[in-house]
Amino acid sequence: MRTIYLIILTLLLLPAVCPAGDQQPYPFDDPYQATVFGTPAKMRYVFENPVRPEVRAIRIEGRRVPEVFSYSRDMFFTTALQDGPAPLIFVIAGTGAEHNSAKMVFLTRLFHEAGFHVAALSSPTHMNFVVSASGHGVPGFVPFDVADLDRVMGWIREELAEECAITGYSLAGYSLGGLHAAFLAEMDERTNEFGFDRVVMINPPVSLIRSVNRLDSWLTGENLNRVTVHQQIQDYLDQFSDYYLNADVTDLDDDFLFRMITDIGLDQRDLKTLIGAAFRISSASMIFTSDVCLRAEYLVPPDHYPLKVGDPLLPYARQAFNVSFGHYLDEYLLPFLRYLDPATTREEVIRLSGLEAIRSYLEGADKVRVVGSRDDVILDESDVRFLTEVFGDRAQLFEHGGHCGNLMHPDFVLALKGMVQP
Amino acid sequence: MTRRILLLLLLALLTASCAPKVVDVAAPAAALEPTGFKAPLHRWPEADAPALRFLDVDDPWEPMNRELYEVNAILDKYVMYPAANIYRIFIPAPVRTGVSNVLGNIGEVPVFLNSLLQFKGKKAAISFCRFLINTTFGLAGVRDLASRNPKLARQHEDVGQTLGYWGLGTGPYFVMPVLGPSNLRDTAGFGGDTLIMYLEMEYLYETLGLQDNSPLDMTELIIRGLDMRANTAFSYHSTGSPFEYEMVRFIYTKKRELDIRR
Repeated sequence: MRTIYLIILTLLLLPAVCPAGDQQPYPFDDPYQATVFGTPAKMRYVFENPVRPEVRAIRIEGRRVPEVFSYSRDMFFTTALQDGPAPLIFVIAGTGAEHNSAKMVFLTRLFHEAGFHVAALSSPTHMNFVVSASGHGVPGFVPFDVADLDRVMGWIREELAEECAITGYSLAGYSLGGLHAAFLAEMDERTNEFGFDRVVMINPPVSLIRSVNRLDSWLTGENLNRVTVHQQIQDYLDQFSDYYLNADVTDLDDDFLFRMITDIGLDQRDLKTLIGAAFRISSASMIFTSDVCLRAEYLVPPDHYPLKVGDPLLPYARQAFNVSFGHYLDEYLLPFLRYLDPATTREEVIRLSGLEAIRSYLEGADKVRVVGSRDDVILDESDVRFLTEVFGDRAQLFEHGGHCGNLMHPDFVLALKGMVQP
Repeated sequence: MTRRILLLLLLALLTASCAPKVVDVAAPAAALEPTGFKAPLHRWPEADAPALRFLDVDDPWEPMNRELYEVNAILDKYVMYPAANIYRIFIPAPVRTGVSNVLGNIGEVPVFLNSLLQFKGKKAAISFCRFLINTTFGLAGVRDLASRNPKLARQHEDVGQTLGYWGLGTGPYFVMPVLGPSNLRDTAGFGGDTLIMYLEMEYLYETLGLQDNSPLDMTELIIRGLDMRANTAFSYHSTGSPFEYEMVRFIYTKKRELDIRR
């Protein structure tokens, strides 16, 4: 009889015990699959009490904002505060990402669970940041972007200090935001404005230009087998449409999208193209936004101004989608920097956009940590070598995960929490 | 009078508590004064550029549509979104699910009729079964028991799709006030669905012995609105793209086209 009770008891307890013991390793060994598929919903880290982030805004008085972008007049960011005194961590989004994108909300909850007040910021390459807060309105030049972030973080600190007790400062960022975080740490070492306790770079590029050139190269004829990128996208669209037509589905939710993209059987070349196209869409948005803010006449001819709310923008979208980051650098960013300072060289701009520029600082900076993966698709071998050489024990690189693919996996969360604790 | 004051108070609460808090800062260096910089090279639009042709949608009323899109975005930011937020915060999830289920159950009738009109027997049968099961065992639709059976998942058919099935073209793209992306055909279809729903509700109220009066209609409208907004993930200008209008227009049009072919 007692045995039966024991069996029943074990059976009853089993489901409660299982989730902890049942944790599966990150499923994608292929870095391109990891980057596109991310962490499947069922394998994601589950927060016990997920915090509800609050959206706030900062408005720079007297700032010139084009009428077409009036909806982006204020700089939005999110906060998640603790009830009592706690350190404040700033989190910086990756290229083209917003303060409350899925990854950012996840990181906000993660750091809040780890005991921080959290302030999450859009990337300086995100449209809203360019329109509402960028000092020059020309994103993508790391020293400018870092100065903008620093200014905004100062304002946020002031605002939050009135509402809660802040016991210290930390910093984190993923992808391009990670690179920004490193430069902010280096700057802070000189100005001692924040005195960061911990700075965590999540899947950072080592050289911005090298990484975006990799992404751009996946949209060239070499990768695409002489099909144009437009034909290739049209082809995916047809494939997705066919799949949807024949699928037994009523909701276009995440589950369905995940199933579709795994069922269609995309090969590595397809995945590269999709990653490149996603990047291109966000860079096209960024470039058009900057051009309109400056009236630089790059994409929009002078006689089209002033752009009004009712004006069609598709013709500019078509043009912007064809501009690679390399083109942007040579045809827009570099001329702008030379306009400000004729002595600027291309080499200098590239150098200032990579971690090599602050290598000696990073080598000795115990507070700066890296969490990423060895097979990150935006890194080449020399980049991975740089991270392991410069950071040593301060870098935790997972074997697999691609670019931020395993960000929501429990192992990654654990590593991140460990890195950010003083 | 008291009711009006209460309403005003509620409105003030809505706008004050849920629209993002804005802090003004002074920063002359970040005023974005013109620098006079002009790009040395141009990439100006060409007429009939071959790129990304699939994004084209028949949109002759584009200037008006874009204005409407902006008006909708502002309405959503200050009224619908905050209201839905309050609804989500103050009304417990089981109650909200119940409300959603009841409205969904009432919506089975137009789905059933539209499925019949398109000779989609299986779909019609599914919505008929769903309606029967949920109305009886599901406590007048409060519980969606039918969905527990994977073969009885909720279907979607509307008058716009029926018109499309019978060969009517989309007509020009049209941004409906408050409700958003549509086209001429689907707007007419929306009118048709509303009419079916209206007749159904009238019948329902009559059966329940409720007097047909405007406060009742108003309450129904508000509840429908809250339920719809609370269950819609989209929010305006959250794509981070200046080309959001184009993206939404394309996705709406493509999805409707596929839904009609399915």
